[in-house]
Amino acid sequence: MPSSGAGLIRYFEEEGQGIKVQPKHMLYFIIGFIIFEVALRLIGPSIFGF
Amino acid sequence: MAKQSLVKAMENPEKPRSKIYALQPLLRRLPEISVPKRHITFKEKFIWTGVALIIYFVLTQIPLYGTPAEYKVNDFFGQLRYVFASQAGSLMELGIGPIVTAGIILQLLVGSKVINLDLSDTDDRAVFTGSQKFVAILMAVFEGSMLILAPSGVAGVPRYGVGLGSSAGLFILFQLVLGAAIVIFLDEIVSKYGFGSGVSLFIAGGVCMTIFWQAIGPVSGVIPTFAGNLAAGESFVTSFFATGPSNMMSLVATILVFFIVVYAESVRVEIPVAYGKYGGIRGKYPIKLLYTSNIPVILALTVFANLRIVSYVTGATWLVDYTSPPSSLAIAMANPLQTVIYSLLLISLAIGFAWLWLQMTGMGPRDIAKQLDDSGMLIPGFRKDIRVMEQVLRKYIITTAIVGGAFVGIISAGADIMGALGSGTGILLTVGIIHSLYEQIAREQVSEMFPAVRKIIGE
Repeated sequence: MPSSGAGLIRYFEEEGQGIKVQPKHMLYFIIGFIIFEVALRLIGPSIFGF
Repeated sequence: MAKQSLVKAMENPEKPRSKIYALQPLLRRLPEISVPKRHITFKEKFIWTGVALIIYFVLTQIPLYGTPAEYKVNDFFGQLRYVFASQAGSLMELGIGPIVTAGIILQLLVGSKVINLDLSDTDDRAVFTGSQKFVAILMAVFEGSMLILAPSGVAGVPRYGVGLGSSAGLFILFQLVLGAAIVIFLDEIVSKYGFGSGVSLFIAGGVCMTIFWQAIGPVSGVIPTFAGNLAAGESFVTSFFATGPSNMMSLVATILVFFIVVYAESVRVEIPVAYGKYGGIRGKYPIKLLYTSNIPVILALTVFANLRIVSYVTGATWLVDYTSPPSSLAIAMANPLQTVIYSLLLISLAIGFAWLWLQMTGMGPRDIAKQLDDSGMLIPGFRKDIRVMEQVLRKYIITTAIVGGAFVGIISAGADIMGALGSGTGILLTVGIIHSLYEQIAREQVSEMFPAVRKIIGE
């Protein structure tokens, strides 16, 4: 249930049944993705051809 | 967990499980941010919130890989992008759209009992949360595909310059979906480890950045342009109302909307309450005019943004005209019919969503009466009966929610017509969000300084 504590929409504050991931591990993944995107600009065209 | 659910089902055999439980094996494989096992300090919350916001800003600056070199992606959502926290052509193109859309769909399905979930039950709530994430990913795939198929404005050229069937098109879709998934996880991090929610934070962050650049940006900022025109010898009035996307009038409109919303945030009805014990200590239960805050407008505009996407698929492009906010007074006056229909649609939807939000989030008269009764309070002059309290509260809460919903709808439409910087709706949402965040941060600070308060507020 989305709660509206302090008038803000909150969607994912409840504990679900999924695979638990620590926030810092998620942070490393996102930073890795950002680096991957930047690297694509340098080496992407020669690998993918677009 | 599965064993516990089985035991529970055996103990309570009469309660049929919803069909949505069929998704459970899939939902168990979806990653989710773990709930903190200890109290998160004020400083840690501050850091997590800041980190999430910085990452969001970085992602808005990374263009999608796969579009042809030197290709400029058009702004599909127009003024609605502020509500979606979306940045055209970037990894954050979909913004919070998939999350909010999934939320609306599931709330409507649960509210209308198409999906039979009891949200006071822990297991049902966990399935609801997981399903919401799953539907958000599906929405990201749908919205992403539609954005790739959407026209660019140049005949025969799709919006990103490549088709959905090409390798580059599929790669763009992959990035859009992954970008949306990252927004979900950032929202989850902020909700569990930070202040407020990521959804609200990203809307406010995006609008603040836009206002900042539109006001003082060195190239086309309103203030530098105004000063430049004055220095070039133009009259004050001509410089003030200079033609262009925004002028000093936009800045005045921005400040005006800011003060109206701040004032509206403080308007409230106070219902006298008294403790049944402790000699009947008296107090007041406040019901704010903006009882459901700016949430009805966020939900209404999310519907508009999705209608815009659907309109390109079905070819009903006239829908775009009636679901796009006018960006200035001149545009509104040139298209009066569209402006009136847009405003009426927005206000009606905002009222509808304000009512729906009450029912779905435990803010309705029955829930509040129960909360007051559980904490031993009563309304002086009325019998201490939960049904009587509900009747008294119903009169105020339903009226306030509907008037509040209409009010935010009117302010949103009115501010857009005045051409406020960062869009009128953007300002409305941002002021409301910052006000709510401030209240929450102040509460957190008190509970940090006086740990006993944490027990009282149930943390």
